[in-house]
Amino acid sequence: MPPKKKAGSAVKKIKETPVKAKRAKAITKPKVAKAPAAPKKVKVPAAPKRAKAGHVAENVHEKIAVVPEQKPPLHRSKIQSRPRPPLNGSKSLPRRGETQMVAFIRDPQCIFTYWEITPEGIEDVKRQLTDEFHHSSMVLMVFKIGANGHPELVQEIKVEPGDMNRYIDLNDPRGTYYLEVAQKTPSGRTVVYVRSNKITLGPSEFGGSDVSARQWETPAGILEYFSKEEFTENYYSPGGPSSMDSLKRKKGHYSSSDFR
Amino acid sequence: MTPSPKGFLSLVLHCHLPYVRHPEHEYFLEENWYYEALFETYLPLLATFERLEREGIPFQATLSVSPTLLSMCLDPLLQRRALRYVDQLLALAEKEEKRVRKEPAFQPVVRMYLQKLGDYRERFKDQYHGNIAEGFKALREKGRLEIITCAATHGYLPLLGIREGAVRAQVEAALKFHESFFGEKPSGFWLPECGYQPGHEEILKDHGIKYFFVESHGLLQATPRPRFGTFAPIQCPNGIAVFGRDLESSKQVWSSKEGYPGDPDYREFYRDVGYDLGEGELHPYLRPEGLRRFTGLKYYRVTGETREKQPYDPARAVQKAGEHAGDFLSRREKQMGEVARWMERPPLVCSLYDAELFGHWWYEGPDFLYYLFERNHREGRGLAFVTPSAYLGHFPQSQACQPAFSSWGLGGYSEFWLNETNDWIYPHLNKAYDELSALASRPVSVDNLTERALHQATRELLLAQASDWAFMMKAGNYRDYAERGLKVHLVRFHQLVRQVRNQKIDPKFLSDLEEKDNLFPGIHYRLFKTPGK
Repeated sequence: MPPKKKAGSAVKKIKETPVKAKRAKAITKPKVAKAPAAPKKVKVPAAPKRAKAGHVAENVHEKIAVVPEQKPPLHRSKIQSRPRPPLNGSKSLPRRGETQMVAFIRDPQCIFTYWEITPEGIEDVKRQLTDEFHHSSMVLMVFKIGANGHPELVQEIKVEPGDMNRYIDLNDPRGTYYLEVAQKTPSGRTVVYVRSNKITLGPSEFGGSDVSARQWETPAGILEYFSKEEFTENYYSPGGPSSMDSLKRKKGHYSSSDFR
Repeated sequence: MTPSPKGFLSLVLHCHLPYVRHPEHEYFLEENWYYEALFETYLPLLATFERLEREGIPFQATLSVSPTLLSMCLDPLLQRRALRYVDQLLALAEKEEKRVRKEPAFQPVVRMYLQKLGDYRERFKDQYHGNIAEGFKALREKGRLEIITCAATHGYLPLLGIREGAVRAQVEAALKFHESFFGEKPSGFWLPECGYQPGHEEILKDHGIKYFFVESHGLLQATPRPRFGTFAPIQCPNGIAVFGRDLESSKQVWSSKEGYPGDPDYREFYRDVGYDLGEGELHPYLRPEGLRRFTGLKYYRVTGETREKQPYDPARAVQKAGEHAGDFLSRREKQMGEVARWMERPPLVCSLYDAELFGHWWYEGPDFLYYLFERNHREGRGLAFVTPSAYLGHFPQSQACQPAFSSWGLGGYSEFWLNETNDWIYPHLNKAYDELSALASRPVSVDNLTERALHQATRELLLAQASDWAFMMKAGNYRDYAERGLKVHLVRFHQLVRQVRNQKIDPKFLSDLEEKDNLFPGIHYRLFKTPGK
């Protein structure tokens, strides 16, 4: 029989896994937003599936990216971003060999992204930044599309040239996001290597929808039923399911010893 | 159906196994997963359903049969090997019957195995001619079972969905294969791991699907808020119905505290003669490699929180299954009674389970199912078992809501399939998809050999996309097998693609792969054509 039925008791919560990897510096969105407001005139192109490496950041990014790095990092109890070894477990498989960046929604509070930048892409950026390149650093930028349709930088994370992926926890997960890997100079000039696909997290993943059309209003008895402890614990707490305990008992995460 | 039932109960069993066919080895440990499931779950379920049918007890249930499982059911090699498996197990049981003559406490359980295995062997060989899917098909034709499908190789769609074409390919391949055997497309679709990403309903609708299932919070957190919670389906804005898993009835079976399978009278899974007996007593069953393993012959009951387990009493366990079925029905009546007064239609409880829970893990599970239907009928309880299609026939109107991103895995989202143990696979899956998509989208015709190579590359990619690899990597028990399996399929894929690109296809290599990974005989590589091209 497949191991999926036997795995349960051994499963640990990922967020409990000690991550020895360095913590990235992050800059909170409010501090960014207060500096230069997102310019309305800039048209934001749709994130291409495979962004061309080395294109110069548009003004909007340059302006936002001027935020000084000495701003205090965001203090959160959870891991903000976690770099991963680039080739773990995949040694026998071919590398892609092209510049690309992909973002996934892992859960309502966490994005996973991987990227690859070709040597040619790096050379291209070097040419654009000339001498400034040697004083610059590579950054991973998280943008949120605001209500006005313009992107706002909500996190900026220093990455190393060898990094290829990250988990990013989000402060305010509702909305549409995309990410960029860029080279940033001390003066704030930013040249983008690659941009990810857009990802959207709907409002309903966070504690249930507030929307209730009048003719379909949930009767009090039903609400009461689903407000019982187990449902409150699991499904109506802000930020989505908080109690992993009962979910653990579900499919694939139990063993017969759990039944005792 | 009861004229005006107190409520509806929809029992849905998801039957899935990863593709564990290994013709390159005479014996292969992981291939046993299929044989174990066959003789401990699928055949016992069939026997249960046929008994109900024979006794004139009305029942309706829904089975989701994954295409990888269906492929294995249809495979002649696995059919032969399954027979070999049960013959060896029967031989061991016969040997055991002699051994326990001086241990009367174990005689009933050994006799039970001999009787049941003999019965299942006979059904397998003489009734279904090795293909148990025929049994499911026959029950479907009698209107007892609704059979639906799931993604072709059980790909976890929210993560594959980064390439929409990958989701389309998984759905389309599954539906075509299902139709090729069952004769028509299914109305429903099981999203692997109940993994739902908003927007995927469009793909399902494009393929004629009428409904799918989500985990409780996928429905409870829909927008707008569903009026009746999980007690009625909702409709996506595009009209597809969505059924939410009922948490309470799931918990009764799965829970470590309240769950039935942990009852002291039930069979203890982890005490197996494969580990309890001496090597001499097991000889020659453990051949050829001699490794100890679960045999399926287990002589003890759960007993309690103790290492000192008591002998299993089959009669007592069956009686307990009947009691638990009654309890389950009573609780459903209470549950439905509680919410029915707030609803203008009888409530629906949708109970979703992995089929393999019944029989393999919870040995008495098939007996429980028998008594569920039998007692409901005999005691006139007024609960109506219903399939989703039948329910939608009665209540075609539902509230329009957009379900929320969700899965039934740990954490409720994609965490189990995307974490530090398995995240490395996604760049490779996406790369492979892009490669095949580019080839499939070329507006050129290709010669027969190239076409075969592309078809085989399609099979290899679909196999690589299975959610089982990521699951096993995270679960840890079979990580090596999962990593090797995934890499093997991807390496085979890239070899084929390179040969196609270089126009140097090795016919022997191709034939070898066609024999090894032979699922989906009618597959076409254009399945991976870029959407819209």
